[in-house]
Amino acid sequence: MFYCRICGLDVASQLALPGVVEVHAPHDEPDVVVRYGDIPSSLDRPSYVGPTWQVSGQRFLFEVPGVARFLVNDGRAITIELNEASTKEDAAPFLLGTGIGAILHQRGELLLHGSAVALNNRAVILSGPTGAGKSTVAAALCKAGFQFLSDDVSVIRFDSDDHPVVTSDGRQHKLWSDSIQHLSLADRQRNVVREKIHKFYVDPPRSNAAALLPVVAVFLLDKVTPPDPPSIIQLSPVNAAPLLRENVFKSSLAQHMGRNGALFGQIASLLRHSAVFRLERARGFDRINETLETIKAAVEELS
Amino acid sequence: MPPGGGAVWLASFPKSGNTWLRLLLANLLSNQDKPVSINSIPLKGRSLVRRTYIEDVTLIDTDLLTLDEALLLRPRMAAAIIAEASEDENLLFVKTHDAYCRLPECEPLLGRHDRGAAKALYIVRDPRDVVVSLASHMSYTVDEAVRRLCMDDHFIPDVHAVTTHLPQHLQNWSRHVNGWNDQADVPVHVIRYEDLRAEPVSIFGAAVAFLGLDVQREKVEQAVRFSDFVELQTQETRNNFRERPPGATAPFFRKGRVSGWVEVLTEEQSAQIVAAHGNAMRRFRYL
Repeated sequence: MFYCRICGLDVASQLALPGVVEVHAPHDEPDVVVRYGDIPSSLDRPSYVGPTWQVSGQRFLFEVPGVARFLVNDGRAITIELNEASTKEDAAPFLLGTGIGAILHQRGELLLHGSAVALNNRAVILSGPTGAGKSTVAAALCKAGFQFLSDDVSVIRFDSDDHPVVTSDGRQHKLWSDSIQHLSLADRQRNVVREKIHKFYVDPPRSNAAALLPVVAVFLLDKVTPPDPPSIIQLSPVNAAPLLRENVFKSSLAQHMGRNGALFGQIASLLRHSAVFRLERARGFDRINETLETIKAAVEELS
Repeated sequence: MPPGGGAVWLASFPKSGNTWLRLLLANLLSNQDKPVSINSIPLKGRSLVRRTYIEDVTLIDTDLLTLDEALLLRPRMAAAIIAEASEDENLLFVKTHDAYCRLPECEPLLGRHDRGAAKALYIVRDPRDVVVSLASHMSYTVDEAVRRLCMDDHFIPDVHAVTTHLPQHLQNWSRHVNGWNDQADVPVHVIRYEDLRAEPVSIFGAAVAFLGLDVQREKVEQAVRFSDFVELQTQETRNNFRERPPGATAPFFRKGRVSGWVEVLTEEQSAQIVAAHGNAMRRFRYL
């Protein structure tokens, strides 16, 4: 078995998970077990059937055509059936993305599509759709002194005082080769995420971040085409709430699991303690330093 | 077409008049007494390749897919769009530059569906004019544009770019036009760009009739007037056009000219296109 910690969960997996830091076997039962096995072609009484997935209560069936099918059960188990022509290396990135996302939704967590970094033990989340530059900006911030917490998905939990906190993750950064080149991270570049894809795992700088850090800000990233300087506005909670809902990781899955009400409650709790900014930045790397300065200034002003 | 709804694939090789066709349809269906904005074309549509939409519908992180795997999502997306269209009283329009091909196990690119669940309008343009337009749109040299029309593995956008849309596989120009017109999975109506320029009211009217829409001559005439190139150029000059690539060397809506290639291509370039695509050019009366 391959043991690791992902989003604060102990995971035991029959397949080694690339891009995840392996740990010793936990003393207790793992939170999540990943195994190979046969998967039914459909679920009993699904409440929703989409083009590649279906939901029935706490069961989620998901297919990546040509790669693998996954069955995620009750927030505790993932079963994988590989396509004949695929390898476990092909399936692992989808397991770590959508599979773990489904586990977390089944566990009732608030998870944002975003990378988390920290400055002075205060966490900020960089959120936005695919291609918005979350991982790239997070990696650039880590070069500029921030600590790395998580890549692509951030789980926000609430402490005993109902303050939002985020945990550091056991997964590496995933970056496109041009980001690695522009940010001069070649010395920390590791394996390719998948064959034929120019995206690589990158070791984060050594993190001494505490296990749980308070979330003080969420930046909703948006790209603009003209090379204007980055623009930032702080959103009122009323305006921020629906945008945060849109940026929930695998948002449509949450919707079809019937999680809308619960998520709005969690988002309201987050907004009581965290600022939300919309940050527009130019595409490419030419003005990335200005983006970093803008984020840094906004975080420092919150203190 | 089922009562009211249905999916319409608006298919073409790039720079063949697809955007103009969408503007004609939008101006026809908008019921406005002024031209629609080129920057927010009010045509109810979906995308087969926009990453954020695909990820929302399929839950798959598209940046992890190989090109072949990404193509496997097309029939799934097409099925989802057709299912949505069947519950809508309006047509759902879907622009595509994909070449029509067969996937593993002979699955058609856009899946198998009940006859009439989807239709296609295919717009074809003289490849010599396509080359001239492609060169200025993509900032290619003319030689590079000629080369791309002949490449079997021609993708847009480039495969290695980090993009908002999945790459579309164009194959080469001949295979593109023949593929869509030889397939028997989807009823297709072909529009020659040159005919649409010469006789827009009757040619566009025929396309509207093919879609099962009510053809009212005065409305078709108004749509043609509102989509006139002078109007489109005026809007682009005033407000820019968001689909124009940042590095383009010319406005998106150029002259829309027919046979403009005569003044641009060298004899050698023109001969190269004819040598590669002569049969398909003859099929569509370009030779």
